[in-house]
Amino acid sequence: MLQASPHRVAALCAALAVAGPGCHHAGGAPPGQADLAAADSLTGTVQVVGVEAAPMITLVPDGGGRAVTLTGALTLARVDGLHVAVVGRRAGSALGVERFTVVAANGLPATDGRLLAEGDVLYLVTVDGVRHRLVRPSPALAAHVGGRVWVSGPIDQEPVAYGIIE
Amino acid sequence: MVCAARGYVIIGGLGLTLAGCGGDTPMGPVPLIGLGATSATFAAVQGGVAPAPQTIAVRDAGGGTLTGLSAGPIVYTGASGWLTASLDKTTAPATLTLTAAPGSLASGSYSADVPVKATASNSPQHVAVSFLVLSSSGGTTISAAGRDTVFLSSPNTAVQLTVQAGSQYLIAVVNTDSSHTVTEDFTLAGALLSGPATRTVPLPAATVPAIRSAATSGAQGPTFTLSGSDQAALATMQRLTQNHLAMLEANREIYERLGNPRAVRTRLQAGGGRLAPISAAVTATVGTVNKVYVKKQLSGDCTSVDSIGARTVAVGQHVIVLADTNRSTWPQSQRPDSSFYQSFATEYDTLTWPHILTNVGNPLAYDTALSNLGKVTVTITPVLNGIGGGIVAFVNGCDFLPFATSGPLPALSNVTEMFYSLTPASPNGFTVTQWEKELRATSAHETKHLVSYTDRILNNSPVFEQIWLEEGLAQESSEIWMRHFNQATWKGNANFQQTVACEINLGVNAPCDLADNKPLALAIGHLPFLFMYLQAESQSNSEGLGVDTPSNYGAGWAFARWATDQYATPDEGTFIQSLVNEPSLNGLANLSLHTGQSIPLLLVFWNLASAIYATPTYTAADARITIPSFNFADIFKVGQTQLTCSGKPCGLFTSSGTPVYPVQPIALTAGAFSHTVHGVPGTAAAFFLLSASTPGTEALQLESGTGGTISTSSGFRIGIIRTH
Repeated sequence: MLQASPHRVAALCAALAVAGPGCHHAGGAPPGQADLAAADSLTGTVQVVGVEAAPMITLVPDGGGRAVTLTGALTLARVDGLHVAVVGRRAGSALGVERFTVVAANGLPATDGRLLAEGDVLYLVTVDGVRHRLVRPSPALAAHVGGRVWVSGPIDQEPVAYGIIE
Repeated sequence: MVCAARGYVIIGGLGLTLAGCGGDTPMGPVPLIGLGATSATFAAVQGGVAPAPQTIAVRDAGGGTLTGLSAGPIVYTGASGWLTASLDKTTAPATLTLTAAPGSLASGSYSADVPVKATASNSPQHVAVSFLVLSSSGGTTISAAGRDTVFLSSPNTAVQLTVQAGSQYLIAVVNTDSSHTVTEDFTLAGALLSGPATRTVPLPAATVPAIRSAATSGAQGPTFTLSGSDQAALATMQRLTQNHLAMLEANREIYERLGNPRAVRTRLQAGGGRLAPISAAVTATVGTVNKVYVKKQLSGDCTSVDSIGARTVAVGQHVIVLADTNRSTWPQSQRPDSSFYQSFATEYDTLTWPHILTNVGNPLAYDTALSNLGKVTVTITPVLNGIGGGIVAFVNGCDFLPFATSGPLPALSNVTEMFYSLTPASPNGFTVTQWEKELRATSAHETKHLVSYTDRILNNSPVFEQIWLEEGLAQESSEIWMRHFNQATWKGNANFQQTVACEINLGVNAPCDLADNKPLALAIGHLPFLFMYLQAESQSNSEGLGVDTPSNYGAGWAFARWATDQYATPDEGTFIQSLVNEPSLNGLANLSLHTGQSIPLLLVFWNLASAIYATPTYTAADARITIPSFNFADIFKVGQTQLTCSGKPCGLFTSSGTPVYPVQPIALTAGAFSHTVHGVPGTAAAFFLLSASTPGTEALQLESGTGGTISTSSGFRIGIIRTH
């Protein structure tokens, strides 16, 4: 991991043209150690560049700009092409992801949570603990009870698309 | 106990005596409800005119008088009120009349159950009614085999397809979302609008045949014998290639973690004022032993290397060949004749180098910032044999970084444009001869990767190409290079004899390469992986661009080849270079920009073009439903049906030789059907083969996975080819 020298941060940002709070600091007043250690949050579209066994993941920030490399959460590879919100900490030119949430898929709002089954009824339990009853869920989802999934479209209607995160 | 429910049949008024059923009392004639059909299907346009009523005959299927007939109450699944059912009499024979009205129903499939009751031991009997409400009244006529139609603007596809007796249609339902991680379900529903009103053959949705077709056609050609060593080489290549992909990924990770090598170089110069000297400089003098750093594992940083001694064994105008000097790990018996190195270098200069410049780009465009040797270096070392079980060849991204043994960015870099090759060895299955043939073609593949690095560095690109297109274009590079040795040409519809038969040992009947001395490429990489991809895509919906090795090496290549065939102007090289030299976009966005076509169009037509399920008997009216450079149907058919291994029939693409063709469309018969497919990955398709036995108008509609109205946000689009 790189040390937090202003010069080095500026150089990294120039090298990769990385967007985000760390680089914004680098362009102005030198950031302190606390600035770099603070949690960053970004929203954008995940782009996976790699293979299933060892995916490399980037985030194209909202509004365009250069991609930011994401590390630390390999499950992000399962949401390639989706709009996500990530929270993490800068590590050099990358963002070490601590958690993320799927926000949208194919331009449609998405809900990210864990599948819970009660009898024949499937619920999606979001991180805030709310249980959303899924309407006519795909049998493919039913096979992943207990797992983390996302569904797109209004949560009170049949999902348009879905994906398995873990 | 109800005797009739036990299934005994009264024949000719002779009563059977049934133990436990009335003792020894003979039974008389028993009335039973008999229905002329147990299902009915309606179709109508949303908000439009109601379809004609349908009638079903009701009779006594027993031996008595069937009385007390009644119909209902109707039980609906979902929306209700759209169906009426009435009987004209209460005693058989009678007629049940069913009338469906679309009213305000949304488009989609609806179902209901009509119970028919009577004074009979088998009462009630049931009629399953389905109602297909179409979102559009638009009719489509595909007038002749080889013509096609696509629906790209919306997933809300309702087609009224004019069908003829004997006509057949290939239907591709393509998930045009750009990522394979976005999966969707759909239902393809059909109904024959102008078919017979009364059905006599039950055809409930649940019994729609889901068999898959693997039709074969045409007379068998000559049989070729596949040598045992070639069989082993084919299996070996597939295993080793997986490791190659992992290495490519490791390179990408290094680039993205450390940054663009050009910027790193600038940064280090600014910080320290001087770069460390290159510790492992390559010498262009034959006989010199060079110190070379070779990546020794699939993951890890730029210090995860082995230091080897590699002798300069050949020098060409554009290439230097180094061979590992370790005789223990690479014994003399597994080394090529020394003359091979120079012939390889000569071939690189005369064929590979101009091919790369013409079709891909300049791999040495960044050379002045590196070794400034003005040559590509090929290092042959057994270190690769032990990486992850063996890896055919790779480019190490660390070689583009400045050499540094310590500091913030340590990189034991060779600081030159280098690719690495394994050595022939018993464990990896390559004989020396096969390895030589493989390396020659691999040089065109790996040098393409060097161009990718160079271009992305000079363009200050934030990321590399997506792996399926990076490998796909590298495969295209070696495929074009192979035209020096096979009989393929651009858009020349090359068949088995013009491709595979030029590469592998087919014995005395070999139609292209009697001497068996041509390079290996298509037969061990491109074609087997494409077959595997298409087979998995159509059989299990488990494929999509970027999913795995067959996807990257097979589908990635076929897609790049299809796009090149369709949109390259004025030539292949200009188009491929535009993709390789693209500064910011990658994957489908890159292809979309440089073809000028939308992503849904690219995906639908490519999926139609790659739906190899039979030997076409038609001439395509639209070149976009073909891949003009290759006759894949012929390649797969001959490879699967006309080879023998040790005297027994064997397949080139599956050991059993089945299926003959990789795509297995779901067979549908024109009429009423409702077929649901779950979990189609983005970029992939589900294929159907619709056959018509009578003329009429077949209504087709794409619906959600549960038969409702499909969302306008769905990525599904449809393409249809009339194949017969």
